[in-house]
Amino acid sequence: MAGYSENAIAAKVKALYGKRLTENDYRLLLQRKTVGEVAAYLKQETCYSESLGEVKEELIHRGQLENLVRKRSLDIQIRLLKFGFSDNMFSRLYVAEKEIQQLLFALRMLGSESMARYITAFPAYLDKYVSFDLFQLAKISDYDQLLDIVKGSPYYQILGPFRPVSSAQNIDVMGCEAALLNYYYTRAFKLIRDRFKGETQVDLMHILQSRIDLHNVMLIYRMKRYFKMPPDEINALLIPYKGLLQMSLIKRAVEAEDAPGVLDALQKNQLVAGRLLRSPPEVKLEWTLESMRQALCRKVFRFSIQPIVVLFSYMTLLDIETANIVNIIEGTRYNVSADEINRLLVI
Amino acid sequence: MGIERMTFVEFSGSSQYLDDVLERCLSSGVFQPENAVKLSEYSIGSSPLLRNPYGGLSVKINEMASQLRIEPQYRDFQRLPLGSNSREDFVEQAHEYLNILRKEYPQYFERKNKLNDDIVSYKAALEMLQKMNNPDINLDSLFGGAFIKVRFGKLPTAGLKKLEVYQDKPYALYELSTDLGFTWCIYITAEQFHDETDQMFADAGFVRLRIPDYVHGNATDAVTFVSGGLEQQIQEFQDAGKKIDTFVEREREAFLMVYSKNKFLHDAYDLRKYAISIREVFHIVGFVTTKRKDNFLKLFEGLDIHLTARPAEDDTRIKTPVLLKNNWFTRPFEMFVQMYGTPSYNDIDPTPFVAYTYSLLFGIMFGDLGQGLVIALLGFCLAKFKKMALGGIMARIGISSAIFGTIYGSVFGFEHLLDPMFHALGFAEKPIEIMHSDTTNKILIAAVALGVAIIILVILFNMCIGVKHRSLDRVFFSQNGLAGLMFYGSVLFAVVMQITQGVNVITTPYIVVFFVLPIAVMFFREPINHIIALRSKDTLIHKDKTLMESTVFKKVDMDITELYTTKFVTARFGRIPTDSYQKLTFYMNEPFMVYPVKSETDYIWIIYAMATTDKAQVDAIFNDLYFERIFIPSEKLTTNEQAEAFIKACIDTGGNAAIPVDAEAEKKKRSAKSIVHQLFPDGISNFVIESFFEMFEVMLSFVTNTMSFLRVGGFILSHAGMMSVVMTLSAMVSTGASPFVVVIGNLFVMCLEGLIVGIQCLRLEFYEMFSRFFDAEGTPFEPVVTSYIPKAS
Repeated sequence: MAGYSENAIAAKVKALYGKRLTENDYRLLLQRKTVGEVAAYLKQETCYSESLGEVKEELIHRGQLENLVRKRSLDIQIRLLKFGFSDNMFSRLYVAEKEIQQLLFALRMLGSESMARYITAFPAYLDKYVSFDLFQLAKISDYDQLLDIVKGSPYYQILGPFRPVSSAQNIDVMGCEAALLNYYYTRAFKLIRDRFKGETQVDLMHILQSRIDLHNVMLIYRMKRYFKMPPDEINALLIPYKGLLQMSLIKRAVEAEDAPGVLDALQKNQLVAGRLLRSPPEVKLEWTLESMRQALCRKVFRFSIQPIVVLFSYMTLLDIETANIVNIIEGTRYNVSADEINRLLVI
Repeated sequence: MGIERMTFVEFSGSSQYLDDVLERCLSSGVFQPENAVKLSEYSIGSSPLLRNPYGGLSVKINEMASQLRIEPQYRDFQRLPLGSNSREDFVEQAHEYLNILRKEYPQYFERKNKLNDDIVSYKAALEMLQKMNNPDINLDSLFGGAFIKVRFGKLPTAGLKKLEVYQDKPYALYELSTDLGFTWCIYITAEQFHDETDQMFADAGFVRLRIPDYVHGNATDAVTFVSGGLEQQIQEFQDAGKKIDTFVEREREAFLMVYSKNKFLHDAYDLRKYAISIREVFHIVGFVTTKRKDNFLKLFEGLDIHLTARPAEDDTRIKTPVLLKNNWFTRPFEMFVQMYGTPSYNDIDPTPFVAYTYSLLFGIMFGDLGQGLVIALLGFCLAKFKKMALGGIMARIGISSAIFGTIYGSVFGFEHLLDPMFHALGFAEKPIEIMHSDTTNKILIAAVALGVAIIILVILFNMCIGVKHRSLDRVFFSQNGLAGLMFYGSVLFAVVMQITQGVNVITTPYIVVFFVLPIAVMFFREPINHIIALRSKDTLIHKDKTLMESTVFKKVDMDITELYTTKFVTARFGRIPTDSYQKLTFYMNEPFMVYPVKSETDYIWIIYAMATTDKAQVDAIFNDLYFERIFIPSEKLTTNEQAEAFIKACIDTGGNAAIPVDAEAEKKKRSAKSIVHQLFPDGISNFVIESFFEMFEVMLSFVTNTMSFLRVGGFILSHAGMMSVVMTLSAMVSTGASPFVVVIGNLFVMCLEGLIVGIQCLRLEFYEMFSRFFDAEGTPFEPVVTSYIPKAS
């Protein structure tokens, strides 16, 4: 299915990757003392200058700067997907991911009765992309209203069964999350299997699987740490697809006694163990898995000649870069020391 | 005359009306759709184009049309009862209708085919019987034997010889007749040997022919019987053909209506490729000529859709297509303009200019009353009967040629045929004697003078376009603007004065003002334009100011000072991201008021105010919405004018109004350094080298363009020369042959020279004139229509 536009996309993506933030950029960013200075650096010295064109460094709000950085990432990814692959299947999949994120965000806020936070935090720029009305979503006050908004979309079928029977019953956000993500990965795997064969399929699967690992492992860890959840219940919430980590490893982690037990179980994997050693103590697991994802994506990005693989790995790398910048912005805003922020970055 | 005004139309509505809108757009025949994705607000939408539901039906209809031998063409399908309720019904019912046709027409066709087969069989039988060549053979007794097998057929003569080898085999061969290398024969063999014998004969090339069952008696009777049968079959065959014709005639109208309706729906559905769908709402954009706008918009009355129409110049995001509008005389010359390119929507249509200059130049170069009239007549016929645009041009330039031919006194090469007319008009002789040695120089000088006049006209034309576009560069600094005109005009003036009056006007002031100044302006054109660009930024700010004064402050009718200084009220000024601004709708019930001051792409400048008691609550909301606050110092709040000025300054400088003076000075210093870079982005040395060669080319082009018009004079002479050759030849031959030589010579000159002059004129138009003013950056207006005539495959 390699068409001319797809090959052009590969070249375009490589050019974009060439403009990524370098270690030197990160070093200089960490030396900034205020959010305004971070904004100024990004605006004047990096490829973010276009997206931050109207930003006034003296005035910029932290949240808005983060918003703009995230918006840039979204715009780039949508644009590449849309113009590289004419049938829209990939851009729709990508939008589905964003839709699920928003639904889960809204559900969490609804569950904790803090929809006001959703209103201030939801990215309004996403509204033109998604299949339901985000502004309506922000207005909901109960689960039925949410179902009304997604009526006609596949989410209606998925979220329908989780409707609380009485108003006293809590919303099963975890169950919704598992169901929504299950839907997303089923769709993604099917698309990849239908469209690609051989090495391309394997590479794309790996990129996707590394995300499943991140999600599943973090879920296990959090459930153990904050809820002391029994293995059966955790298993029900996991994404039922195999990641890159061995199933036995995941199984052992699920069955671990407590959160440190999860870390111990994962140490059995040499790769994970090596990275865990270098990871910052606050975010050991997240950093480890994210850096493994980054390494994987960098590898396939360099060696693959398939436009779709190049694009997907770039999208992951861009997401990681965005997360890094957000970390720097937040760290700078709340006066975290440069060293500490630096340890959080996945570079 | 000029360019037809266009209206930009935008439809949006529920997806259920999409097809209705597209069908009405298509049937109007005046709407050119544009891809809605070109507009940024629709860039993310998905295309509603799916598999065309009328595609299958189209294939079926086309197959049926070729079987029924019906030529597809348009029929008004309004009265077609099929699918009057919905499009789905139409597809279903049309399929049913075609299925009925499919069932019915084979009855006729099969009957006809069967008769055709019968006729072939009868003809073959008749031929066989004639080949038997023996009227006494009784076919019934011959083929009726119980224990013998009789085979009739033809054998290649070479095969006959082979059979001689098998003479000992149990068969008997009777040769009946020979014909074109074949021998017609009958062989007889016993039943138990027939397999072997048949094989043997087959090897020898025997072609067996079966005598049909209906042939009985002896050969003579059989021939009579078969001939009678054949005639009857032919009669029935013809009847069957008539029945088919009746069937096709009966169904033709209905079939063509189904064809037309399906073709229309198919094409309308295809227009979905221009539409964009976002959340079940479709968007279509496009252009319609302003003249037809009202009628076009009426088509959509009764549909629950949102429709906006505004002049095309109000929306520059999509390039407006161009429809040239010209009168009867100039219209055919649009062809030449379109060959070069289409003018932009805001340009001037050069068609009238081309029409008059082309006619003039052609007439001058190819002046002959007789030949001109012949060309005009031929062109008129081509335009009238063949609808050729070139025909229209030929008619016009033919007339022009005839007019100049009259002035030259030349009719089909007879240079003195019109002398009596000139004498009657009081002339001693014809006005222009081309072949006279004195005239030659005058003609050439006049040609150059004409060229000069045209070039000056073209430069003025370019300056007019520059004024229209508000382009100072085009009006003043370009070689086709005032600078070029001053230089060109002054050089020519000096030359003319020197030659005609012997006066040397070239003095130092003349050189400085008319040579050096324009050349310097042309040379420094690029940096001058950069300076203008820099200055125009200031104008933009000025524009913003007026915008702010006129729309915002007066609209909200707000005294900022009062707002800020009133007790119990707190006001804040600053800007909020556009995304967040939209979210303010969620806080309708919160105790604050918002005054938008100015909107930018990503931000909106606002002032919000609330009761002081609600300050903490409201500020928290705005902080969550990433409001960027700017303090207005109390000294700026003494009068409202001061406050407004401060706010304007903040907006103009992007919130930097309170920058200390030192920093301002620093900024100025920095900008002064970069000014050289702004004026000469590629460096000064590059600029000098480029500009030098550019100037060289400009000078050269003035000379070559002017000299180029010498060809006008050249062709006047060449035409007269060629006709004099024809006349000399006709004088050399006998009196009888002379008219033929004149006719053939005239035809030859008309074809050869007419063509060359036509091309040379076009060359002058394109190179000498268009290159000076015509940008040709437009796109032609091509409204969508359904073509009911199938494309030749």
